[in-house]
Amino acid sequence: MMLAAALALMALPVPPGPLDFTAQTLRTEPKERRAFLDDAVQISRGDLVVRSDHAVAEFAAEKPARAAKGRKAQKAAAGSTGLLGSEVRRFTVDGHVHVQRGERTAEAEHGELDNETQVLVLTGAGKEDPVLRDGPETLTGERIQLHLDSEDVNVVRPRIVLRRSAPETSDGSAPLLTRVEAAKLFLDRSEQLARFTDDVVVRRGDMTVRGPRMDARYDKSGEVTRLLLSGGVEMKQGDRRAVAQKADYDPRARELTLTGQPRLFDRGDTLAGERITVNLDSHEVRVDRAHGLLRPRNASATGAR
Amino acid sequence: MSEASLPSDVPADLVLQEVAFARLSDGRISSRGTAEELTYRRSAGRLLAFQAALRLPPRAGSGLAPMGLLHLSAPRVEAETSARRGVGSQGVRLDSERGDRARTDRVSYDGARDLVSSDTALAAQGPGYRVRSRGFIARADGSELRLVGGVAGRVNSSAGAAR
Repeated sequence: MMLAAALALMALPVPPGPLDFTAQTLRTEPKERRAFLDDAVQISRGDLVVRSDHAVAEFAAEKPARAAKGRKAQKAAAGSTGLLGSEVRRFTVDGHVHVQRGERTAEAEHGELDNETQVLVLTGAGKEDPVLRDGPETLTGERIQLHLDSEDVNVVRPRIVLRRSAPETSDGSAPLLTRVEAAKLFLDRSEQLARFTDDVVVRRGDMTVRGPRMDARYDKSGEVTRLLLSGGVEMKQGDRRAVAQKADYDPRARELTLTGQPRLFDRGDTLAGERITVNLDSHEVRVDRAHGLLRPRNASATGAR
Repeated sequence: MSEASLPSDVPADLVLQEVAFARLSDGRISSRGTAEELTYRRSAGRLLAFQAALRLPPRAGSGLAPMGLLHLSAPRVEAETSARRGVGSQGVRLDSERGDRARTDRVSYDGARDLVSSDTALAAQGPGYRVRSRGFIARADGSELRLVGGVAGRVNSSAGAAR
């Protein structure tokens, strides 16, 4: 799935070293310490390749000429504004930005590569949001930060479709896909964890689960094994609503398990228990150690324990 | 100005062998050079030099200043002094005190526009960079350089040194 793909994308840090580039033209502005690359721009280092329509390289301050002799030469060099030969501190890329590392790709309208922090930030520049791709899987967000040396990824307002977890349909109809949105996403490869925070929403068919925080865990093949929501969770499915402290979503079994004082509200029925399990395909609900109030239709309220 | 612009059938006013020269600017020597042979046709204001070499200290604060003293050489140089134009050809070389090296077959200088340009392949390298292009246009003071016709190169990044 995409989160795992993003984790894999960062599996190997980009080796430090010089940057290779190609373009149709290169124009330098030594006083501004910038160089402009235009048309069919490609910047690469290690297995990282960034392509775009335009790029601007910002250079570090020039060091005085090494071999300068005499006061005049030293004075001239110290006050100079040389460019090539200085270190590139930062690359800004614009227009049809395409990032590739191995088989994974990202697309955006704008990108900023900071060589000091080793972070590549991708944005849509007011157009379409940046996209991270791995085969059929996609991750989008307002802002994608790729940490080239630590393997981590930060995404602002991520939107993800969990395609691999969708069951195959026998009649050829489109499977119900699980979609995740949040304000922030942090991908921690070392923990094989994707942490969503702030306004997390999981949708599948008519089901919506909301919470302040969710951890997505993966197996080694990159398949999602668990979506763990915590910090106060609310689930809605048609007329049915449930709340709990935690929710555990198993994408393979397509079951949602609520724990931590879970309570189910269903057309006047109110049930609590130790654990509430909802099958997302059949809509069957199991409540362990249930107690609550059932209100059969056309009948007076009946307590049940 | 092309190499063909200096007809050889026009008799030279002056032919010098093993030449050393200096250029004065504001009463001071701004550059020095040598040539194996220099032919001067006064009526046309044309110079033709063979195996010419020039030592050029860059102006303080200019874009070329970090490179230190510049050494320019070309097997053949034609110049039109009245128009302040010239062409170096047959393999033009630029070497700097800092360690920069640039090579191209032909370079034109337009003094009126203060431009240096080439439409032949350029290969340049120096401390922390190397670059190739199919041509270039530059301000003579180094304040702007444009590599054109397809560019490829390598530059230092803060994350590591050029190999």
